[in-house]
Amino acid sequence: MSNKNIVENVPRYYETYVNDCFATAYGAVLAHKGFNPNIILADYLSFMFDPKTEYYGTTYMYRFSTSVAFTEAELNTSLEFAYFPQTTYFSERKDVGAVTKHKDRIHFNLYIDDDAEVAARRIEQLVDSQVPVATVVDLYYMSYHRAYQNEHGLHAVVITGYDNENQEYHLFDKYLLSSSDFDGVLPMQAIREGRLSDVPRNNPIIGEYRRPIRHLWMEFDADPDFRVTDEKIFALLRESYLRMSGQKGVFDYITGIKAIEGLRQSVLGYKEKPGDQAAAAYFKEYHNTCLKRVARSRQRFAVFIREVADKLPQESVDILLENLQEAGKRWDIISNIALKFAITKAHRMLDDMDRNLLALIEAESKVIEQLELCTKTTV
Amino acid sequence: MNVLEQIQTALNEVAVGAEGRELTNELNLSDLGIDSIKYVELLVRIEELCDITFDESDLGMESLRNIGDLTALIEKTLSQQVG
Repeated sequence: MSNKNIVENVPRYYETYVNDCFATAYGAVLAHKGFNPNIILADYLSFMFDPKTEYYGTTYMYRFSTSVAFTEAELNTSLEFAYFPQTTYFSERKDVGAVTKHKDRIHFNLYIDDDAEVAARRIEQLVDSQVPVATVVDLYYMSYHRAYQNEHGLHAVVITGYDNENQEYHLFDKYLLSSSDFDGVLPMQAIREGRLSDVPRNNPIIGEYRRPIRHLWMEFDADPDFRVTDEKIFALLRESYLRMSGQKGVFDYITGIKAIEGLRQSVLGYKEKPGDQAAAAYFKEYHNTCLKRVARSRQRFAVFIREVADKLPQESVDILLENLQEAGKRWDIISNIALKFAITKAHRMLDDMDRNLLALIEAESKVIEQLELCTKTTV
Repeated sequence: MNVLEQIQTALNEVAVGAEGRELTNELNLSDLGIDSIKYVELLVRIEELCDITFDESDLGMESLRNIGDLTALIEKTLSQQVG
C-alpha cells in the first residue's frame, strides 16, 4: 500500500447559487475527467406536486429521507447525460468501472460499505489511479465548518489525496453557498468519523430521524466513445418541454404549470387554517428549503442554455434566459416569504406568496413556449 | 435609537455571540453567524423595531453582505416609507 499520494490539478468547480453540494463535488471530479459539468449536470426543467402529501420537487420529490440508498428508478429522473445504477454495496459489487449499458451516458456509481477499512482502501486505490473522490461526510466532524461539533448535516466533499504517515486526507470543499471554503488537509480520524456518522436530525415535522452515511462515495465512468451530442442536448430540451407543459409526468405525479397551480392552491389553503406552530414549522423546514432548491434549478437550467446557446435561435435564447432569471428570482422570493410567514404567522404573507407564484407561472409559461420552439427548430 | 443601535438590538436577539461585537460597516453578517434563515429573522425583528416593511425582493441574503449594506437598506426603506 502506498504511503502518500495526491491527485494534482483538480478543478475547484463551483457555480454560485446554482448547484447543491453534491453537484459541486461531482462537477469537480467530472471537470477533472475533461467533461463540462454545466452540461453533464444539467437536469431537466421540471416541477412536480403531490396533492395528497403536498410534497413537491423538480426532477424528484423533496422529502425527508432516512437513507442514502436509492433504487435505479428513483435515481434516473433528473439527468440526460448521466445514468445512475442503484446504490451498490461495494463489497458485493460486480464489474466496477464497466460501462455495459447506456453508453451514451456517464455512469454515476453510488457506493456504500459499512467496513471503514474497505471504504478507506478504495479511496487510496482511486487516488493512486489519479482519480479524485467525491464522498459524503457529516459536517459535525468537519473542523473548518461552522456546523463543527454543533449541527449534524450530510455534505459532499472531494478527497484529492492521502498521507498515511501523517494520518491525513487532502480534500477541498468549495460549496461557498453554505460558508464552505476549505482546501487543505484534515486528520483521517475526522473524515472516518464523518463518513461513518448516522447524521442524527430532528425537525418539528417528522421528529427525530437518522440518515446513516455508510461511507457513501461516487465513482464516474464513461465509455471511451461517450460524447455530448446535439441529439442528447435536444432530448434534454424536449423532455423539459414535455414535463413543464404537463404532457409527461414523473412517476404518477402531475408536472409543469398544473403542478405549480397545485402548490399555489396548497399555500392559499393555509389562509383558512390558524397560523399555528405546525404551519410555521412546515413553512420553515419544508417550504423555505425546497423553494430555494426550485429557484436554483431555474438558474441551473439557465446555465445550461448559455452553454448550448449557439445551437438555438438567438431570440429564443434571450427570452429563455430572461424568463428563467425572472422565475428563479420569484421562487427565491417566495422561499424567503415562506420563512417570514413562519416567523410572523401573518396571513398577508400568503397573499405575497400567491402574487409571486402567479408572476412566476407567467414567466415559466414563456419558457415553455420557447422550449417548444427550440425542440422544433435547429440553427 | 439610531439605525446602528437598532441593528445591534436585533443582532443580540438573533445571533448568539453578537453581543459586544463592534459593528463596523465592513463586518460581514456571515462572521456573526448569520445564515439565510437567521437573516430573514433579523430583518423581521428590524421591521418590528423600526416600524418598517422591507421590500420582498430585499429578503434574500445575496445582495447584502455586511453591516454597511444592511444599514443602507434600512435607511433606504425608512426614507421611502416616510416620503
